[in-house]
Amino acid sequence: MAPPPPPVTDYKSYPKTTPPSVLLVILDIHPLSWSLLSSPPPAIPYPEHPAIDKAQATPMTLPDFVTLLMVFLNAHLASRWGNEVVIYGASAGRAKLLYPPPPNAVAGPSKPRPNTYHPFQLLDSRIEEGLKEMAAEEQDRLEHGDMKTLNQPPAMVSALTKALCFINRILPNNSNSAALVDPAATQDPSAPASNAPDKPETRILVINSTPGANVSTATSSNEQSNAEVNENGTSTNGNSQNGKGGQMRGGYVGLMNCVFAAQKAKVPIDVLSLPPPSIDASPPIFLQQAAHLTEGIYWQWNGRGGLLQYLHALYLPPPSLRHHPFAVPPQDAVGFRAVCFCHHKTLDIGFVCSVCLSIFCEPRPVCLMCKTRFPIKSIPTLKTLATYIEHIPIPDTVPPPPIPKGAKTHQQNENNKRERAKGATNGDASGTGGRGEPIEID
Amino acid sequence: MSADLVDDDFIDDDDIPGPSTRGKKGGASGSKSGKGKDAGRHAWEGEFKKSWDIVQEDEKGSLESAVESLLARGRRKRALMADTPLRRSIIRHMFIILDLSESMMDKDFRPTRFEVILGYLRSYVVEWFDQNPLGQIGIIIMRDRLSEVLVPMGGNPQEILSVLSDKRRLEPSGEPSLQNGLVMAKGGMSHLPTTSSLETLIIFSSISTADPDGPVTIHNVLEELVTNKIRTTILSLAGEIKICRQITERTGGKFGVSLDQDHFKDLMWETIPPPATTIQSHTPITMGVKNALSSANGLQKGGKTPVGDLMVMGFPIQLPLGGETLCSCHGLLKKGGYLCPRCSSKLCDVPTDCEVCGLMVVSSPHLARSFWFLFPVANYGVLPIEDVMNSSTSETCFGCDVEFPDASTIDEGVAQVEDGVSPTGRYRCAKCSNDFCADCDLYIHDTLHTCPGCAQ
Amino acid sequence: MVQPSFSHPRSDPSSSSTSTSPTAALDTFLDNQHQSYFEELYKSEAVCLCILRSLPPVCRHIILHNLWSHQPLRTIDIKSLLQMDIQVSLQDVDEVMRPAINRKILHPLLNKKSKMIYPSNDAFKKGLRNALTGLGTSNSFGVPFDREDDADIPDQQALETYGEDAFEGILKYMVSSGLGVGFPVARPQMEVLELLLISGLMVDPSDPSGQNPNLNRMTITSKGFQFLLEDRQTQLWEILMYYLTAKEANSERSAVVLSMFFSLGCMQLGQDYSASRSFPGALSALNDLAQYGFIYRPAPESDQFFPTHLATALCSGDAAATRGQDADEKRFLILETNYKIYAYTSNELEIAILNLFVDIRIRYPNLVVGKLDRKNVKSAMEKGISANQIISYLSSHAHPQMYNSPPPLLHPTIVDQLHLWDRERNRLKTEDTVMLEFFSKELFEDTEKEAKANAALQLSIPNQKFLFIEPQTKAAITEFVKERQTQLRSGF
Repeated sequence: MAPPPPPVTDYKSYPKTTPPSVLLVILDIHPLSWSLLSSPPPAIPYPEHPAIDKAQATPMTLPDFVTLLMVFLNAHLASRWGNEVVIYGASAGRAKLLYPPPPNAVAGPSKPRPNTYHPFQLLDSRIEEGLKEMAAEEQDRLEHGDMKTLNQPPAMVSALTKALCFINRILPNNSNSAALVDPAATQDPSAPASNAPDKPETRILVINSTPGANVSTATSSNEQSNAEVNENGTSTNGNSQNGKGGQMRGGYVGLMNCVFAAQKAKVPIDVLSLPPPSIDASPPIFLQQAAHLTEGIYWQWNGRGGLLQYLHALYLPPPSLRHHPFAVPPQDAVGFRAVCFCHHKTLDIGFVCSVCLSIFCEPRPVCLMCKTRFPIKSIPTLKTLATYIEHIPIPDTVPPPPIPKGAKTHQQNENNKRERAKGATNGDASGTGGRGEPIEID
Repeated sequence: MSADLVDDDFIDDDDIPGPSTRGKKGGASGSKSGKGKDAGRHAWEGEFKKSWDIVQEDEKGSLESAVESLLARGRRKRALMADTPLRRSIIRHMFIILDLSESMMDKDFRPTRFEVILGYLRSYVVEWFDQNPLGQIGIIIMRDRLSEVLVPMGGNPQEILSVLSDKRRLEPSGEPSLQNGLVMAKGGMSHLPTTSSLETLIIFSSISTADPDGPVTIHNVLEELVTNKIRTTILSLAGEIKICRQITERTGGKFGVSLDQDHFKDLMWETIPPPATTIQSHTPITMGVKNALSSANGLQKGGKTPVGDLMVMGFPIQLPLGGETLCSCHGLLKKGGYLCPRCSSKLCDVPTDCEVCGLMVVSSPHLARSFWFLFPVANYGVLPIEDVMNSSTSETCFGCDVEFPDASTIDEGVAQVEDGVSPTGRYRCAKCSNDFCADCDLYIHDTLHTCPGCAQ
Repeated sequence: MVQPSFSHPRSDPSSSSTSTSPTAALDTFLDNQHQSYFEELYKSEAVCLCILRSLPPVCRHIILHNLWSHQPLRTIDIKSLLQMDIQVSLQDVDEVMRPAINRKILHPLLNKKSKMIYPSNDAFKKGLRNALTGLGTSNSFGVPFDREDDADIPDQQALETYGEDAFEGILKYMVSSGLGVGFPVARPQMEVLELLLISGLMVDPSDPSGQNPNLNRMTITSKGFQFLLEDRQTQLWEILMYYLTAKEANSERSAVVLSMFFSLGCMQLGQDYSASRSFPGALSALNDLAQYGFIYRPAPESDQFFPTHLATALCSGDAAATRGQDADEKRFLILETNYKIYAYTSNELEIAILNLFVDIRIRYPNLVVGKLDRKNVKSAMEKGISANQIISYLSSHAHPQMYNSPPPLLHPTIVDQLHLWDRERNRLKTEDTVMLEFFSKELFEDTEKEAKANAALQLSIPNQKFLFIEPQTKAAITEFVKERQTQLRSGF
């Protein structure tokens, strides 16, 4: 869906300045996911790229990753004056703002360190504190025997909604709602808008650590929908949904609503998915959809190090520089699958109520949502149809690198060969290498 | 012109800024009075003020959001009113053919027909997509006897709105050619299966059409429209034209002549709900399913068509813009495209019926766009001051984490719950019992449609 | 009536102020420095951070993109990153990276296969990495002062007031010297006056030779007036650069001092630092900065110092920093189309500056009403202030209410009128010339023809046989005249 990049070679058209950029990071700190990541299975062989194949699977622990993330966030702060960072932690079933600290919190560390830029220090120490607080809460939950909550998927949707609310607040003239509550409110923002081009641009970076399959099956319909269905449930299937009550967190509908709200506010949702293919081959498809629909960048780590370089190369440029002049990394195929309302399965092919467009995974006589009665005669037909439905695997297509305009193909091949021989050291974004080359940091 | 405006502003220093406040107040009252007025009102009665407001809206960027918010409010009202889920059509494809001849600059609508129509069109598109989430709209313009695809068929209202807001691209000139416009629309829909609902909506401002000289006349085009089952609706701003009526009658559309601005709007809005025939009799729109059904088993033929039905839909995989592959719908080499989830054949665009296995292939986000109707967010209640004082509540808004005003500083005598405005600045979700600020309350209910608390 | 149009200068009064970045003075200074100078600068992490921010966005992100890679940047990488055609010439790629090359961050060189690569400056790379990770050792972000916990420290507000008072004191002194209107000003310290003299912002009119100026009797120059109309951050950097240039003229090493400026720019308002441990090499320079209000010292000889907002806003890279709190204070002007100006301010300095080109009619405690008129504007222009400077001053101080009317911010009438007044001054153009007087008509006509053919003729008055020619052609023309003269003579 991303528009083809305009053919640009004229460096004079490059932007002279960029608006300040607010980066909202949603960090998935689900304990189970991180325990998986810290002891990953051996990496899947990658014979096409011997250099990559050589690299070992890197275990990644949360502290290690947070260290990398801090450097990345510092780089974001460093890249322009006025840039800001907001971080949400999403743990099992709950999301929390980690930075900026709540207004009543004790103000940071007492003393600046002589070798750290003070804003960096504030950010880093507050993230550390916030994560420790969250970890303590998790510990607390665990000790109180609330084991069930630990199995909940990370509250991505809650974190996303919070992030969008935050964006809505800092961009008051962007929202209809502000105008609704106070018609006079729109005058005010118009004034700075005309003189200050510095309306901040925002983007959301979702760092997912939960294996894709889990995210997809576990993300499910709103709790509310479930309740509603049960309340009025005329269907006999009402009970079967109850069994899955524990999984009803976040939700497909919620995520999609977030995506549309982000689309409206022109906020790209970038997704970095940490679980390498060796842990889980299927990508978190709904996060991938979110990135695709909001023109964000989706990328899955290959489990072989180089994360710091990837973060800088893929996710650092602000939205105003993406597409033009910078190239966006090529994106994988996106599966537009959906989740059914009855059993919260991820579907390739589903049964859709023609009245309210609810999605079901099996034929049923009455629509659960709008109570429309479907013709009884068509049920057997649909049932037979359902048996014909076969899933096809998502092809793991890696788009070939964009051939530089005007390049002769053999040149390109040569480049590629050289690249492989040397063991590429540049990130994916450079476009000359395939995905997943290891990067060493000296 | 601009000098006047500046002077204007500086004369009355106290109630600044003139245009914007006027615009908003006027807009609000205007839309209300428009509804409330009796039907027998004539065009020349009391229209002037409202048209003036439309000028203001179009010239000031800041006003657009205000106007849009009014629309949003209206939409929200509608959504709140509808307890039962709204009935939604399935797949519609529509080309809006816009006459941009010089006659659009006529001033019988204030300030000009052009400005008024453009404004209507913008809200029309939003409304249309709200009610037809799986639909697609393209826009064709006719001017200088030529026609031009302004926006190709697509399902993204934002894209259309951004094109419509660029007025410089839309400067009216010359004469329209109805024939060219229709040919262009027919060409633009040629790749779509005739089983989905194909429509054109022509907004015609001229009283003549300047068609190319040649063997093909508009009557030939009309024949093709009929064979291709393209329903054509024509709304005329000027008067009844024979060929227009003929086209609409033959293709099963409607023909309307506007009496005044409001009437025109009503006529336009009548085309938003799916055409009646698609609901009642043999619906072209559900043909995808029908095909699938009949291919499996020859049931269902001739039976009474039920109001609702289950449809089989496939959710495709979108391919990246890598190399070129053959598509199954045209047999052409193309980049990108979608894979049918059942037979893995490549399709150029969705929603459509798979050429190979007949499955209706739709993009799930398109479906999901309407889900917020199904899962409305619980209303947030005003939190009276006693509750804040008594219970240990969070210090910050659960949505945007802004700090609430200190409850202890609020004067209890003054703090009354009025007009649903919370004196404490807190609004509590009935379901998850989290507190939100006023901004988030509105944003969540108007735009986001997901409660951060309930999502946990 | 045909209106002369000045639409092009008018269309960008605001952009002209943004396009000349506040750090222009710094940029020119750095552009003239050598590799070794930068090597010394980049020892400080604060410098690396600030220099990075001063680069244009595209260049900056390419540097960051490559920061953690141990391979040098290659042309092909840049091209593919920027979606450039493979055929794009090296010069164009160079041009994109030019700011970084100028700052000696990248050293373009040809590798063995004659491909261009851009290895980065090791010192810079190390410095920036350390800045991001906090692993540096140079103490460039300032060592906090060890004080007792209960020690009384000034709050941010107090520091701002202190800095503002100190710097405005200098500006006020400059204004009052030019206006002759009396408002009480303290004379800045000798070192400050010396710098004002050296920089040419002020001059002693009684000492035209400049040999032995009396620092107490200086008046402001036209350069000084222009300086007054700049925005605050530009002024700060200009002053600092004058200071640095003066240091260099005394053949002192300035890299340490410059690096200190950047460090100050990265410090935290309201925090106290230890001077001796933060800047062991630049203590005297730090003392000098105190006179301009950049830092505050509780006691003259104390090791403890507080940077004021003047210092901490130095490296913010754009005007947004100085906006902050004083944004609203700075926006106080309402300009009407009838040339009336309402200034909602009680700031002596701003009123004094306004007085330069506005005929002030009424003064209330918080409001000044005046009128832009020809006399005052022209007298300001005599002092060397240009129409564009006035326009940018007016638009940058425009009251928020002014933004509520449709753009442009300043009414075209006024902008055009200011430009017209500016042009008026230049109705007479002086040019150097050489006058030749002839006695022979033939010789006069021949020479006129010759001068015309060589585009050397400025004016000829045949009646009196005067010719006015371009000075640089004098030799050639006299040669011709002599030759012609002998010819004519021999002809007789």
